[in-house]
Amino acid sequence: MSSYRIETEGISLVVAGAFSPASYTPGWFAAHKLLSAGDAEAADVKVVTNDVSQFQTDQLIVQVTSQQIEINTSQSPYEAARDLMLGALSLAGSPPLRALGFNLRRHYQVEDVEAWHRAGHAIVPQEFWNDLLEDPGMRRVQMQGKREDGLEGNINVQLEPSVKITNGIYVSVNSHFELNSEEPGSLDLAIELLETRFESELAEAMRLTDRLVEQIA
Amino acid sequence: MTTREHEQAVIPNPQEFNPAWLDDDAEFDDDISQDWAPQTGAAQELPLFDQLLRLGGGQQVEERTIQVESPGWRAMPTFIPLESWQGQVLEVSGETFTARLNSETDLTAEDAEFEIEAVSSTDMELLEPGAVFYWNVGYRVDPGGRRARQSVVSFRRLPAYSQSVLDEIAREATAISADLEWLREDGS
Repeated sequence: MSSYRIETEGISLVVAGAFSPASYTPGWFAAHKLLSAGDAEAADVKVVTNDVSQFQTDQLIVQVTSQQIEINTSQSPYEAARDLMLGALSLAGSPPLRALGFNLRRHYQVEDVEAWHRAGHAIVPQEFWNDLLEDPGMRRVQMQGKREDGLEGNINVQLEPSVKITNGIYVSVNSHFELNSEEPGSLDLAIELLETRFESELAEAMRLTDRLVEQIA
Repeated sequence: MTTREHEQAVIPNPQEFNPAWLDDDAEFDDDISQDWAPQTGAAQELPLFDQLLRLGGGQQVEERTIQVESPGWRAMPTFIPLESWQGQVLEVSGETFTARLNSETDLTAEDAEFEIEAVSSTDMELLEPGAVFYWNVGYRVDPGGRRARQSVVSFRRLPAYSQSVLDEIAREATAISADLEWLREDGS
């Protein structure tokens, strides 16, 4: 086994804006051909109210509030989540949108507990904290960087011990775009980003997490 | 059920946690309060139901994240992709269909033949010339950690355009065509 391995992976898409959660049901998605009839019938609907809608299919988890739509998946193809979001936005009228986020989350397993400890100490050196705390340990690190494409937003990286994997490291990357709901065209920009940047943003996030873990594991 | 009651109801047995790079006998600290999360970021685990109701606007969205899955969500397998293609169906014939494949890694294109048996029953209605699909090869990892190599063909689903949208597209296409005709006559 190499020094690290991806144990689980998933992506999510989040759009912040103004929505009517009660509209976003499996039946609604199926009526618009965005889900198959079979997937809609078999969907596990947690709740549908004017404030929140949540349901799960075999492939996707959809959560809608009055302020955001979030679509999660850990299964191939990830594009299904993108296409569902595209469909949801295309059929939402013209809601003002505030932000769009592409998210990757991975749980890595490192070789052994010593490697796991070394990874934590590489990110947050113990020496700095030894005078301040008794037996300091890193719980979570969040870093933010600027976008390099000139668009408004930022890149957010989070690293912490995995709660799923023994000797595991959880890393998430959020590629965040500001859409400026007060400007016309926020919906068009969101759709354009989903159509043209989905693959590249996730690919870049995957490279970033691999590089990060490679350096610390 | 109050927010606090709901949160307490889903805090798991602390012994199931491996909370930090601490000594093995460190006590579990459940004081995970007001952890800042990016406005469109995702938590390590899916947020609890009640948290969704407190997402607000403003510069930052503060999200209280407890690092467990809501017990309501069904555990899903994960897929670790090795290679991905986007394809377009060229022809459907008998028990196979041919497609033009575009690799998402090296940007090459090639034609390939697939067995119709590779298409999910839920996607069969979408199988026709011109249809777009995704072909991913990788490892499926089930919630128990078992791995298996997997090849998945999945057809793209996008909303059907309404007649009004189609009419608008047709108007725009006509206008563009008229502009191009003018340019041709102009000799530019």
